[in-house]
Amino acid sequence: MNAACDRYRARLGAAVDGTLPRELESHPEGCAECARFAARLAAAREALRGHHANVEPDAGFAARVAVRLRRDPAVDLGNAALRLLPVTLMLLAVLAWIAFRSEPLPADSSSEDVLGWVVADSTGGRP
Amino acid sequence: MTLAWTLEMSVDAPGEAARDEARLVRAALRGAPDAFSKLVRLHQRRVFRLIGRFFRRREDVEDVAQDVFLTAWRKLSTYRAESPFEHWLTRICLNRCYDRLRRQRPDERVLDDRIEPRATASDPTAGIEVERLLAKLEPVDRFILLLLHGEGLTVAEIAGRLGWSRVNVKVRAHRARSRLRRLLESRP
Repeated sequence: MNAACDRYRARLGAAVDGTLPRELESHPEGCAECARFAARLAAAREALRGHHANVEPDAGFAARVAVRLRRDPAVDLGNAALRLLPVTLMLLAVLAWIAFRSEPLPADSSSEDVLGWVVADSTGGRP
Repeated sequence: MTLAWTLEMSVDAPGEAARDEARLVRAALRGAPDAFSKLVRLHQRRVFRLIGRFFRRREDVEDVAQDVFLTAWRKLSTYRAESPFEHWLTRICLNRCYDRLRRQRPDERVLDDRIEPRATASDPTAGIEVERLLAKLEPVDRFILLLLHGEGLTVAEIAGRLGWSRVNVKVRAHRARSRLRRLLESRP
């Protein structure tokens, strides 16, 4: 296989509809290997086009899907979560409102008191 | 059939049918399994037809189809009504097929032996064992080649259907074609 063969096969492989530049079209006429490759590629593409199971759903398919839906725990959990979503949002809104409305807590001075007591104790009550 | 499928997938269902479908989707979203069963009946033939591209055995096609509708039911809340329901369902369907093909063991990849090899006009012997040859491709390569040459989709259409980038599809298509070429060249 020479460079011309390589170029021909690369272009033929990439061309979806099999059309090639004019300078490459005549290449397989003088190259039996490339002619054979082109025939195989055409057959492969034909096989891909015809590759189909041609299976139709039977009358009971939708019913079988429905049975699987009923058995699926993820569905129940998902539905439950969806049903609880408005309640959850409302609870969050109420909590946010309470937090916003409440008075700020007084500054916690307990640690300062303890410190004052320790200082007073060590100095015998002198300032 | 391929062209019809492509057209069906790219044109919105007009008028009343689209409104009926939208009503069914809304009802199913509220948790009504009956409404979803009607959606299954509306789309089951299209789903089977698409899955049939990738799997030959009836039980495989049915199994994947059930998975597709189960996934659709679970993810229904992610569906946005701006695009047709069938586009959304097609994306699920193709991704389920892709996942299933990737999980297949090598011994499951052999295609149906009953299929007669096809001969071409230029070389009557060229079709011999082509099906077996295709079975030697990696599942990802076969998936892309079947979409390109089986469904007749363009790179842009495949990217849109799967939610992949065009560059990703181009790269995969290039690899798949290169591997097919090597396989065809390696035949005696």
